[in-house]
Amino acid sequence: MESFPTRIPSNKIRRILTLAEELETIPPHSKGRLTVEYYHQIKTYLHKAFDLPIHPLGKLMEGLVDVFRAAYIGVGAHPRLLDHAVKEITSFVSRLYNCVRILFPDLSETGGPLLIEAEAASEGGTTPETDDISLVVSCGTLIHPILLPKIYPPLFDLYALYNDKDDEKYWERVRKLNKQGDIGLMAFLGIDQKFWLIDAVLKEKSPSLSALRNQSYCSAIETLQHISTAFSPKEKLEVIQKTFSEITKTVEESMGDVQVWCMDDLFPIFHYVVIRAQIRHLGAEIHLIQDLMEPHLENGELGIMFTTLHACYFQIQNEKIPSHG
Amino acid sequence: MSSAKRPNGRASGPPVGGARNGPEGKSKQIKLVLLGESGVGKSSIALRFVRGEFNENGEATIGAAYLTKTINVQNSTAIKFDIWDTAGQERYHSLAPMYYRGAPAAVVVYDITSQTSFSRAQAWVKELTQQANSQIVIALVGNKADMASEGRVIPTEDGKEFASNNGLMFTEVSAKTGMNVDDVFTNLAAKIAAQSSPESNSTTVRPTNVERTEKGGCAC
Repeated sequence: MESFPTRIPSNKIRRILTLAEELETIPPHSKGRLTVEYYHQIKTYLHKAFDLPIHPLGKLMEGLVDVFRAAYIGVGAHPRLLDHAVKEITSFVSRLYNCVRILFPDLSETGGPLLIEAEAASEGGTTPETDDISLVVSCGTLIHPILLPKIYPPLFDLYALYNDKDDEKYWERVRKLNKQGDIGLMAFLGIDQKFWLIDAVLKEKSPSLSALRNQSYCSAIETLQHISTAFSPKEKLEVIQKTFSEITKTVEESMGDVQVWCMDDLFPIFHYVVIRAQIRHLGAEIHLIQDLMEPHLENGELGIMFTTLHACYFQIQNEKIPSHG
Repeated sequence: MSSAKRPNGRASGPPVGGARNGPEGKSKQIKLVLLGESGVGKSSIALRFVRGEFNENGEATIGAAYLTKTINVQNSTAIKFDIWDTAGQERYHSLAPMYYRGAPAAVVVYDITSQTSFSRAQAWVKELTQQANSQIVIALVGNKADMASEGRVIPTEDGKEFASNNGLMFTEVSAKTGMNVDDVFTNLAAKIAAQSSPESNSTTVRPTNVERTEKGGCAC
């Protein structure tokens, strides 16, 4: 181990050694069937392997990331190159998946969505205490969380550049809209009064209605802001989903009843949350998700939630704001 | 993540059972979009169809704004509807294309006690026939038929005539009593199944088969 060049800091060496040690335990090549437990085992192993520069997978990853950065940072950071960058990523993803599938052939052949079950669930009998009794896995759920964090900054810069004009327009509107107090904004957006939930807020905090500001749907707004810290499209979609469930939770807690939404009621509330969340590059976020989300999600629940976010972005850019604000 | 109790991919996961218990049975996933003025009862119709209940408790994150239900039509085809609700307010009208994009089926709802809701339904139908994919199957639905005796403003004939002039399916329903609600969806499913029986439709979702994966091995 003395052969390491001395300029590598010792904590980095320690990390490499720990990783290398952990990687000595390799999950079985094949179990005949992919279960939730086995999938997690594979995923954890791959995360480590792709992170370790002396592992063949780590070497491969390092090379890809270096080339990607060299191509798209600096002079390469030009909106016209976005298309190429996305094509490269798509190609990285499917080719990395193919490599991985040689190691673990139980993964689905095409990388398409596959519903897998927990071992305990299929054996019948007791339900496991874990969250995941079943799980839909695909090429994207496996590879995106490994690859995208490593190339995220240059990639997102490209999206931000590409969507610059729309994002500027959106941002100007968002800032204007945010000058309004909670009641004013909710009224402007046409939120049904029963969802203003002002009684609860008034009881706790603010003395007067017009002074009410940034008190409504706070947990949903905070949740949505996390979209910028998620790297993969699936994780970003899950942030959107969590935002909706925070809205539901807020309403149910305040009204003390189970809320069955229809879009007529839900859309304006979500619209409000999006405006208040003030996500600087929302257009870039949406574009990234659209490019990289897997097609089997498009028509499902995550799909309609994403469409609703996209629709809000469009609406914020295009709807006239009353001039008195 | 509190909402992750149920399977992550509930959204559009491939039906694992479908792949096993019906090798020759076809399974299709169909996105269906609900359009109609706010308050006409779009989501109540969908709720009624999905659960047979007018106002039952929802467990999904966004309640009746997104629902799914699988029904079987003749020749053993299973149609799984992904039902998308939309916001019917006038100010959101320009957003509708984002929702009906790629949908092979649409249900346009009006309230038989409201003239404006009927006019807006007609506008949606025109827009759909001009802008959505040409194969789209549209059902025109007059809701609140239970209130026909007190408050009807749109005669059944008007709905029927508009539908037949535009090649739509037509039904008057009541989400409140459940009258005719299932028919709307079973007729749609039957028409879609008949329309696309040659294996060509892009909406077909092939569940990845576990058996095939095993045989696949390393074929390089």
